[in-house]
Amino acid sequence: MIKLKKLLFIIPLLVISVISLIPFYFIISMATHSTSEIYQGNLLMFGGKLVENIQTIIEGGFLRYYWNSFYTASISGILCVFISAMAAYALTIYRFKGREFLSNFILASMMIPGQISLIGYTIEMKNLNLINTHIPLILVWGASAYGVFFITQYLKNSLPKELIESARIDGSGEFRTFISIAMPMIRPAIGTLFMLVFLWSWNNFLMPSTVLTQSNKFTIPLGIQTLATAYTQDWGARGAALAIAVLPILIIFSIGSKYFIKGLAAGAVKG
Amino acid sequence: MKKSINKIAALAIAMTMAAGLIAGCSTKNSESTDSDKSVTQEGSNETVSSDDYSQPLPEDYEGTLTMWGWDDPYYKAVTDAFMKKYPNVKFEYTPMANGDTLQKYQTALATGTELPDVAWSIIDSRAKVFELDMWEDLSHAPYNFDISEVYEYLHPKMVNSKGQVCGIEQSLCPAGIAYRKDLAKEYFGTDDPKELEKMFPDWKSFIAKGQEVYEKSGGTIYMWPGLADAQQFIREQGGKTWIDGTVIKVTENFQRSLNLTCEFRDTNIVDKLEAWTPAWYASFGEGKHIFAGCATWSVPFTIEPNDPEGETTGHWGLMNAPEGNISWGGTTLGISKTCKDKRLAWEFIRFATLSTEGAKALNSIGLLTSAIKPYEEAPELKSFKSKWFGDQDLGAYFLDEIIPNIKSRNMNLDDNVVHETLNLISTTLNNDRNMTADQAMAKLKEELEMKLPDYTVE
Amino acid sequence: MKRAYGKVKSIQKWPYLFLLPYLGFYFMFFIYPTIYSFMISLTNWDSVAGEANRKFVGFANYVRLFTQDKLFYKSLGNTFLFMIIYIPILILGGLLLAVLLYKLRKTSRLFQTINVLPYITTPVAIGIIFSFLFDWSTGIVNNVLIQIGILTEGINWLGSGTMARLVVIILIIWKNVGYYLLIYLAGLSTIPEEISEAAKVDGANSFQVFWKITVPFLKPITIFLLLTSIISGFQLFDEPYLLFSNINSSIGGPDRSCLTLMIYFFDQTFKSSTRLGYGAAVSYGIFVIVLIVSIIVSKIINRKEETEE
Repeated sequence: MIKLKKLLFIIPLLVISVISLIPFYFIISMATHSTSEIYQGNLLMFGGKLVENIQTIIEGGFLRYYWNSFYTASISGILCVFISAMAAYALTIYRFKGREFLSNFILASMMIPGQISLIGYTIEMKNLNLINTHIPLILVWGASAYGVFFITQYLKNSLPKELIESARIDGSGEFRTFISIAMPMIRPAIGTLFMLVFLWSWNNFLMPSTVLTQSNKFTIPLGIQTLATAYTQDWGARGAALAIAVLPILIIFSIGSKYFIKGLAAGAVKG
Repeated sequence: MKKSINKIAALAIAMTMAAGLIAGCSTKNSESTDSDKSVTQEGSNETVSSDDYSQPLPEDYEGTLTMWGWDDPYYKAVTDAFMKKYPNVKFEYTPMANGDTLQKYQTALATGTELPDVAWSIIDSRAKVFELDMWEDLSHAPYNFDISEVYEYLHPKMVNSKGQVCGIEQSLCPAGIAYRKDLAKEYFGTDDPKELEKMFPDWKSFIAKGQEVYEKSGGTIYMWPGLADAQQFIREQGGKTWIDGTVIKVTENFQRSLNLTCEFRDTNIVDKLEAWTPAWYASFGEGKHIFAGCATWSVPFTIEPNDPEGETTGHWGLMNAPEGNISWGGTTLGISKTCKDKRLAWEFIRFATLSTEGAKALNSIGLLTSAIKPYEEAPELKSFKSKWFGDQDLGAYFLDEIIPNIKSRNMNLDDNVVHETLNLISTTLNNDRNMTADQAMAKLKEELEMKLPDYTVE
Repeated sequence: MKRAYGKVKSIQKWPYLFLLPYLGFYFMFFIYPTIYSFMISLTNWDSVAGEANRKFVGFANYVRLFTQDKLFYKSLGNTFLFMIIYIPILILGGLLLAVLLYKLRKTSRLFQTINVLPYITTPVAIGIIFSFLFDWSTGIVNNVLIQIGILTEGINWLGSGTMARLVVIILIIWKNVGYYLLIYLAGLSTIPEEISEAAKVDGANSFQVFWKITVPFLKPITIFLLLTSIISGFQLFDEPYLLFSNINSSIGGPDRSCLTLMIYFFDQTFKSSTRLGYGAAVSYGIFVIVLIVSIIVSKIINRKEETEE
């Protein structure tokens, strides 16, 4: 009886999980077929053209997009984590004039859709001569209201103020206290925020498409979009490119899912 | 509630603070762009005085040209031939979707980033692209290109509203229709293009025969793969400009093509495939569709790769379309104002579009140069064949039969929007089988009024 | 506490120092471009005409946007329609799945990971993948439906306005349901077990426990999800944009039924027309609407809370 009841729970979950995975299955399958096989539409079985398809897109320079996305997203993550942590630390540990105002201010700007500044930002980057570099894609993350909000939430709950106090009494400088005491305490939040920003930066499409015009600077999403042109009729290669663009990152995040999932949830549950 | 007022106040104050910042910055910015401009102008003046553009470059000339494009085989054929002549010249090629041309160029212009040295422009968005402040006028010094060097029907497609020549067509893009010989023999009793042209003088006879085919085959064989490409073909036969001043002449230009498209659909002579989807491409190898629009580039681009059997059976033929042929597609090569080596860019464009050597490279991939002289210098350039078409001389057929039958229309700034809206209507017609031509017309007008509110729609 | 801070005077500069980098970035790369966009929205800047011909036109762009621009309203309607359909499904679906999954603690992680994969997949890729899956003649969805006998002839998913909307909604639900599940699951773990145990002892059945205890307890999370999904709903762009990126597709799909506000913004500014000034006005128009909707929603929520208390 208990088993039957459990089955009742498991079946809908299994169905949902299968649905979640199906599109990925077909992308992998597409990557293993030739174009004419794809035209026939039978993708339930894998084919034998995987190596050829992957070769095609590697020759097309797809690895370059990978590297661009990877380092841009990494630096974005690091920048966002540091700046947000410092700001959040200031807002939670100290009592100072304007604190209330600044907190509200940052919270309010979370409501503003980022695209509103897109045109202005693009022109600003032009004036700074930063078009066709990856710097515009990184700089925005130094101004992430979400980052500050996220770390503030964590600090409020998990950094005992007494610890900071006793460090001060021991004569530790303010910045050192921040680096050596506060930062280690909030390591999980830092890890999660890094992963989130990495992901957002990695997935971003709109901004790169306005500030990058040279293909050797493209990031993965732009690369994927351009593929349709480069391989107009090579659907196998398109499948391979999609698979290569999407799967490794999913695998990495699955391995780190413990922290990532916790972190995703933390912002919502505590906020 | 109190909290949210607080938030909004905070935001407002922040914005006012930053406003001051901006006022200062923006004046600075405009200064810097001005000085940028004068620098480039000086640069170009220098090259003008030091070089004679009418003479060929020395063969050991060194330089690099950048290009963004969407036609890899064309790019490879032409640049390989050019580099054989000028081994020290290099090319940097960035693939770009032709539908993105306008967006990419205008982003580059708005952001002041590098444009390609040699800039391509697809026909669909060309009118707008040619209005961008990025083109060298090729008809003026130092290039002094004489537009009469290329086929006359292309002239209106190479100039912008100010009469500047912003690019030269890569190749002729005449389109007639291709047909499956095996099916034509079976259903019409002949596979000779001349006989078929007699059989199909107009779309009326096309529909009548189509119905016979439909009955004979039990609805398995179609005259044409999809409605959208049929609609496009017919409307381009009109040869009249779409927009006159601030009036979009919808009824005049599209009523007939919409009527015919609906008739095609209602008589079941056209299949339902959406153009440029996998199924549409695949249809060229399936032998279920007798006719399809066929430009020069269709042969290597859509027919050959999708019909593996055709190589040995040669079961395709090319003929004049009922009621005249069209100019389908086409891409120009032009020089951007920011080009770093205009001398070399011009040498390349002249080579690719006007020279006999360039024409030979085009011929090797089944394309016809748009210039007139190469055909006189090397008459063999008039001819090319494809195994898919047996021994029919496609080059000669396109030049002698198809082209004289083309009416070409002038371009307008917002053609791309009209074109896009027509696609929308075709999709709807294809899907909503009960929609009449009049309803489609009404919808087209309504959509255009929404999309282009500054025009009168007639 | 307060006294302790006051004693050490030198500390007082530190909060500002810690905030300085953030505020620096914030003003330079958020506030400044936001206001700059606003200034641009007051001009008739068109890239085709060039920067030299840019003129100040006051609020003309806004007047036109709100009084004449039917496409803007159409895209607004589309965006609302999407949200009205998918947000309730996501919230309800996520909650139900979370409750189911909460009972199976052992396999929980695996299920969570699998179901969150769509959420973290590059949206551009999702758009393209779905355009393959739902292709009329070669798409897997039609093939499968025909093979198992539900359909005799494939549905033209991406060719009809209604069906295309359905595909977009399926896509959004597919992508997000795992995330909603995850958030609710985390919320469930914060409910003290004693409460539901006690209720059960008092004779409540599982449905009553769910309705009277679980749902009210998760209310803050539901509000969070509601607000964030409204904000992200207004930004819907990548997936529908790429879903209709085929050569002959029109912007926003058949009947422009999937033209979202962001696609309209992008199309006006960069794609089929080149009007930076008008585009900037569109982006501010979107902002104003987001603001109004958010305020209305939070008001409704607050009022409810008050009456409940």
